[in-house]
Amino acid sequence: MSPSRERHSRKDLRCTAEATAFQRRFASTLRERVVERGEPFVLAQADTPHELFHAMDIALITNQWWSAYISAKQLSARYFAALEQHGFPNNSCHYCSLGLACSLANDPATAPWGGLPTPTVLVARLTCDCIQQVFGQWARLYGTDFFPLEAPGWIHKDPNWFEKSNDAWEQVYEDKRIALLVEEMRELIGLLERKTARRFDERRLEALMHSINEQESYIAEAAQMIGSARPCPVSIADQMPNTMIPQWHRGSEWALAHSRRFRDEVAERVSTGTGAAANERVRLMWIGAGLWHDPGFYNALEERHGAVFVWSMYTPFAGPQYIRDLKGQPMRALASRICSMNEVLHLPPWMNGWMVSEASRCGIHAAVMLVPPGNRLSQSGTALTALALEKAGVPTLTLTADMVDAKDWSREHTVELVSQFLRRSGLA
Amino acid sequence: IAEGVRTVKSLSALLDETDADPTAAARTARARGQRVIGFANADVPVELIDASGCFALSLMHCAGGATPHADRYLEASFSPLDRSIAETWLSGKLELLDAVVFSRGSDSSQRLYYYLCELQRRQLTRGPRPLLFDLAKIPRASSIAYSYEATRELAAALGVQAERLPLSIARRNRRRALLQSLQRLRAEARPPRGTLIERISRLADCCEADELDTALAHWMREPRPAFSGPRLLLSGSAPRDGTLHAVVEQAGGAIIAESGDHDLERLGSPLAADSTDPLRALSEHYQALPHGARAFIDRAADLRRRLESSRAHAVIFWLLEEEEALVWDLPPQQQALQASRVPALTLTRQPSTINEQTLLSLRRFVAQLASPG
Repeated sequence: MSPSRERHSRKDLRCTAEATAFQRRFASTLRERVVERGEPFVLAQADTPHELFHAMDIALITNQWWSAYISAKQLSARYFAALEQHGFPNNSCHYCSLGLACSLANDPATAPWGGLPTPTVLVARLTCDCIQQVFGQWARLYGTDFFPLEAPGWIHKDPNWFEKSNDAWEQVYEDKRIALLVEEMRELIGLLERKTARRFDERRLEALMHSINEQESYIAEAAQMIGSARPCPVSIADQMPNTMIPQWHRGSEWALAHSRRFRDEVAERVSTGTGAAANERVRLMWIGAGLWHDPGFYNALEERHGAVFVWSMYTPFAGPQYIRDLKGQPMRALASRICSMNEVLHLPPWMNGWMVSEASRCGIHAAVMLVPPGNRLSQSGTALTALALEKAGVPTLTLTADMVDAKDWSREHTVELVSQFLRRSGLA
Repeated sequence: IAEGVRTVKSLSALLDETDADPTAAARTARARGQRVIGFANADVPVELIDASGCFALSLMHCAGGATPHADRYLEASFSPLDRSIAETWLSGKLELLDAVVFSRGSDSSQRLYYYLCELQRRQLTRGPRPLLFDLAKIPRASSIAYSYEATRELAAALGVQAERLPLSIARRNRRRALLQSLQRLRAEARPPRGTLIERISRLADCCEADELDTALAHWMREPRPAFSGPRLLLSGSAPRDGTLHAVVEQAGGAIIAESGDHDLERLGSPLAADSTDPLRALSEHYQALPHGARAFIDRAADLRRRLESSRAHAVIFWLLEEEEALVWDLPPQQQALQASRVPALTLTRQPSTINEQTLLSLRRFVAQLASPG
């Protein structure tokens, strides 16, 4: 097996191949739309209201997806070097800046798609100090608009937010925070209408929101089955693409149908008792972003220890953070989905409250937590969550590694670290 | 001259006493029945603390030292100052305070607010009540309106007495005017010593405000010796003490301006004293304040302006390892300096404790400026 093939993870579900094939086709279509046809497009962070762009039929490139795309092509080291050549210290945040680095390198011969054309607008929530700098510089480089969204403080701190977020979202996420984002979204819509001549129709958004609710309910059902079934029917190597790819296209016909297929295939495996591993003995939780440069790592402990990565945030997040009772207010419901998307995953008490609850629901034996050294946002909340998990009886290993930068990563070394941790914890 | 000597001694003595015991004035205030409220950022409206009859204590004095308690809960990317504040808090050394106001204008600081709330919820620590000033910095009407509500909420949480607010604004304006005058003095041929300015900047908000301002105003009228060595601007992260200023002075130079959270302009321009809605005036002031990690400003242009106004010959960029925002402005700032042929020393990924290598680089840089041949 070639080194590049070894990096890939094993995929057990038929629908996984369908999802990745769709995404390849989509990437090709997107490229055609924005590069060849010169259609307007938005370059946005993952935690922004993509629903608006979908409802306006404006092409969207998500920064995190673009970073993962560059990383998967093994280009991250090249572009981080370019960032340094432009005078940025090499401790600047990597996850958010890989796309900017690619643009700064300005090397069409090696850049995916020959590099991005000028986005119509860049959009980001200001969830940490570097984001407005990265997106501001990126926008200046292209000579286009950056539309920042506030990430306001959150005073109502309910560790059990996930129990009531679908319905009591005004209370959970605070009315004033929702109102602020609604106002910002209306201004963003105005900017997009002026720059693209496309029109926003709130009825179209409402229909999309209903479709998203249906889509997320299938993923939530799958998450419930994955948590309760023994053995675990699908590892996170299959969960991630089947959740994240539809999530990029949320509310579309394909995303809805695919999420249903995913749910059905998980149910089929549960009914036949088919497990991700033949010898499941240890159920592991993966905390942090996906390890985009080495997804094969997730399967590497199965044979040796019967250790299966049962949980990552992406699939179980769909239920509490995406499903919304619209209450005839699609803009407000959407704002409640977006206004804390990052906070619930990275700040106490929301992060630890949810993860401890999820560990219990899924019968987790131990957790492995990714702590990227150069990314404050991704580090945030990990120490308090690790302590909370330990207190709840879930041994937790912290891995210092980056999700897109493979420079300091060694699969063999990390597998050995996890093996030692499992032995120390009496699990191997 | 004799009177001047006494006044210099008075300011120096006040700074010496405060450096040795930064919470002494706060304890005195507490003993006479005042509540004490801590704050860590320049965009926390100290006027509101004052108008609630409380003593406002800067937590910059917490900087430095080992942080074993904080290291249990805080990840590596927290700013060294916030880590030290957490350590002081977790060691039970902030029991003097009733509350601490953190600002949404700094990511590290606002995260610390959530961590401390959580540690208190889990009964892993006690200490003062954490409060968040939910400042929204985007220059847009919705953020301005949101910040106004945040200002009202903070005023309510602190128990501001509305009738006191104009006086508190006037008192803080007096400090603003003094610091601006002080910065203008530094642009002259007889600049005050950078090490002294650093102490004033770091310790002023640990002192009783009237006492410090009186001492400072007297001292500013005194004669100073002429200075003809290299004049430097220190840009970047806020150092925890005066080591950088001292080493530049020892090498024959002088830091005559700063750019960052530690600079003398960080309080902004004085507010209109006759506003019919002082809370709105305060809110708009802090929302637009061109300081802090989240300010929407052109830092390269801001650096050029400071260079001109301070008559600095060269720039030292000093950026902490944990610095997240200012590193992104470094290349355009460096380009601006190159275009103007202004020499610069760039020190990135710095530990908060100045190391030997940094000291050596500084000495060499200042020596080259002093003897360019």
